[in-house]
Amino acid sequence: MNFQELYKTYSKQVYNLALHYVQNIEEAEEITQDVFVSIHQSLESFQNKSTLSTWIYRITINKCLDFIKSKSRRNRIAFLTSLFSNNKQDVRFYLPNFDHPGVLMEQKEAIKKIFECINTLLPNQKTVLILSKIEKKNHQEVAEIMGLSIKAVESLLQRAKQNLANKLKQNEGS
Amino acid sequence: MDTEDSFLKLLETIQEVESPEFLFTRIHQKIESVRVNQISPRLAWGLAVSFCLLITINILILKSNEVVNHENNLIENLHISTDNDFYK
Repeated sequence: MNFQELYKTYSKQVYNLALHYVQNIEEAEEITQDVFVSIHQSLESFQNKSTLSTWIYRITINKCLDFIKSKSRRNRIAFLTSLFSNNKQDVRFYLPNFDHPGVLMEQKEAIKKIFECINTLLPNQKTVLILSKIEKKNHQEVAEIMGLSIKAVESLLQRAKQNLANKLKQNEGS
Repeated sequence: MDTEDSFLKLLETIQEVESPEFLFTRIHQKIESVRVNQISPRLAWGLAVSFCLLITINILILKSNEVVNHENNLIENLHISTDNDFYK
């Protein structure tokens, strides 16, 4: 399979996964580009220890988490500098610009609130929720992508759902 | 558990979208720019070896200059004559 065919086959998968992580079109496009550049550079070293799809999922997840970490760091610096300025605008560390094209208009506000809470979860809990509930992968597939046992995935998913429910309740209360 | 079920059901309604068509062109451009800016391992090693060689030669030259200077100082301090004239 040449690179163009690979792109045609997997671009939708990569782009949508990036959208679920960052919920923003421009940022998802940037991540998608980085993922495919990375794939192009390391395709020769792909050792068939997993399927191509699983390998691409892992690259995408890592790129997304790196992007979010880097953006949080920049926002944190901006927040610290804002403490010393007169501008008291609240700077949030998680991603504020919600623009997910896969979300129906009538559900946008509700899903935006859910994602605001998902974005505060630990990376592996966020990943397991996205893969199971949005990407609709079964536990076996999630375990393969995340390099965990099926039991570990079930336990992680349970914790993620509980934490998310607690955060949503707290937000409703405030 | 009702709240949990309801928000999970909401997440499941998120639809898949097509990736933008222009992305492949951008990716291709990015790959080309990365390739152009990359230095080949052979070139990098060649530059490193040349640099080390240059430093080594410089050190050797400086050391040999030091020896010559030391000899000249010795000659001066001991008032050693470097010519064959007895009377000056």
